[in-house]
Amino acid sequence: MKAFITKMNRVFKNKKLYNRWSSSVGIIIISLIILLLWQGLSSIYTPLVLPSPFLTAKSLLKILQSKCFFIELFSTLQRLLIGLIASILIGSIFGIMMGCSKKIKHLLEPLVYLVQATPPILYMTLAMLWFGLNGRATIFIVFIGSAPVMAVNIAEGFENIDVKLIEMGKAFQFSRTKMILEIIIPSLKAYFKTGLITVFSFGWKLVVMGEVLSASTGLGAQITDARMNLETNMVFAWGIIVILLCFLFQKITAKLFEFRLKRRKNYEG
Amino acid sequence: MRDKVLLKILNIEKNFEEVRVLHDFSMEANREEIVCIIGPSGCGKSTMLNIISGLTLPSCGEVINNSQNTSYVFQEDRLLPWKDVYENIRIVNDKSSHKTCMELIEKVGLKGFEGFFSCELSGGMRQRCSIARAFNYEADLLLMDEPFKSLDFNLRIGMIHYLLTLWESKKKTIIFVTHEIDEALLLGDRILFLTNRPTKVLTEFRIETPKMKRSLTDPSLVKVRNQILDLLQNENQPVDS
Repeated sequence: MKAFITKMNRVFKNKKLYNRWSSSVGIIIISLIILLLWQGLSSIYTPLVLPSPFLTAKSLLKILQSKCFFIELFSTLQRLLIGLIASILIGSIFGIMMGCSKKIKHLLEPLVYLVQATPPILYMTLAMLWFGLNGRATIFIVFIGSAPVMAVNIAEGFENIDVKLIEMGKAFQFSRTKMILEIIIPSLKAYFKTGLITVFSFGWKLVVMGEVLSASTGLGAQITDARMNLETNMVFAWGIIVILLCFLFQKITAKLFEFRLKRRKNYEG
Repeated sequence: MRDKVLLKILNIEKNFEEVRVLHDFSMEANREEIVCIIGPSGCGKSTMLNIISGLTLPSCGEVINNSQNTSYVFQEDRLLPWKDVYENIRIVNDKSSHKTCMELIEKVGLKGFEGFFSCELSGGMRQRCSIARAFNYEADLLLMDEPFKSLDFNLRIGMIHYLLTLWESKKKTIIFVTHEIDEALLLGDRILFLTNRPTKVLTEFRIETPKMKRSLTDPSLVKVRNQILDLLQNENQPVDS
């Protein structure tokens, strides 16, 4: 008990620790409230409508223990990555073209916004008609949903390059390569990063949606399977997995692309 | 035989659409000379520097620049935020040695801060870094556009000291644009006083005292200072219409 009190004292004195502590307390309280509500409601309705938390946990455990979980996860990740890599590449190329020339920008901008404004479900319907009920429709929707986000972000980065720094480069007669490497690319870095993070979390949602509607493998397909078998508990369990993985995915991308200035220490000698 | 005159500006004119900023403006600067330019805001001083450096083209007129390159210290520091002090100084001259860069850093009093990024430095330190950068660039001519504008009086005096130390070691021609009479008095071999619209040199003051020995309380400097103040007052008198 005494040890606990000293620890709490330390936590309250250290602001950072305190913030982390209070945010985890918040998560626990919210989770408890949700669980209680869920438990309460599930005792009113049948498991077909709302399975109890306990039943869901049991299904969750069953999924995690089964071998097929990793196979499904792998096929989802595969689709996601193919779609994302394509969208990052094509989106960046479009963004760079839009950033480099005002004429190209005026030409491409309406197209990019049109693609962005169209609801993903419309693409989904078309993709199912074009590619059939296999993984390709899912890859397509990840691509078409994410590419404009990337393009808009990069183009925005070009808009926000500091003209004064460019002028500085000109005054000191930077070569074209030097200008691009030392001023333009570093200026775009932050926008590229924001684009990546947005695209990663958006892509995750799209891949699951695509699979629910069109695929026979992957996490989304499992949700559809469970729905067809009227196993609401499995729908819940897969849902929880998808949410947790999405959360994890976001955290990892944010960490991965964390932009830090690294300090070189030894300039002497 | 090297020409004594490094920079000659002949009858420059510059219009921004309808607005005539510079009209028939001429001046020259000798080698290893510091020319200070004092003038009201908006009289086209920055435009003139941009024309000299080649960032802007004059509408007509001629700039004869015998210096191969032109170095520039801007009003703001314009350091690259993603580079530290050392890299920011070295970037303008790939041929510069590690030793030269470290010497420059020491001369502007940033020793120990080589690895700091501009966001971690104070305004004065940033501007010192930008001055060191300008001196690392291979150029006989250095343009300075109100470089100490955002600094307080004490810092300015300190900056002038750093600038003169650098100038003593690497004599460049400096065109120094400023609003502050004191800066001009401490730095300039010549002080050009400009008038507004049309911009031209109204008076030229010569200061013979060696730069390192100057003090603002020196009677000869006080005399020049008073003359400039008189001019400023005349300039700013409201015109009866």
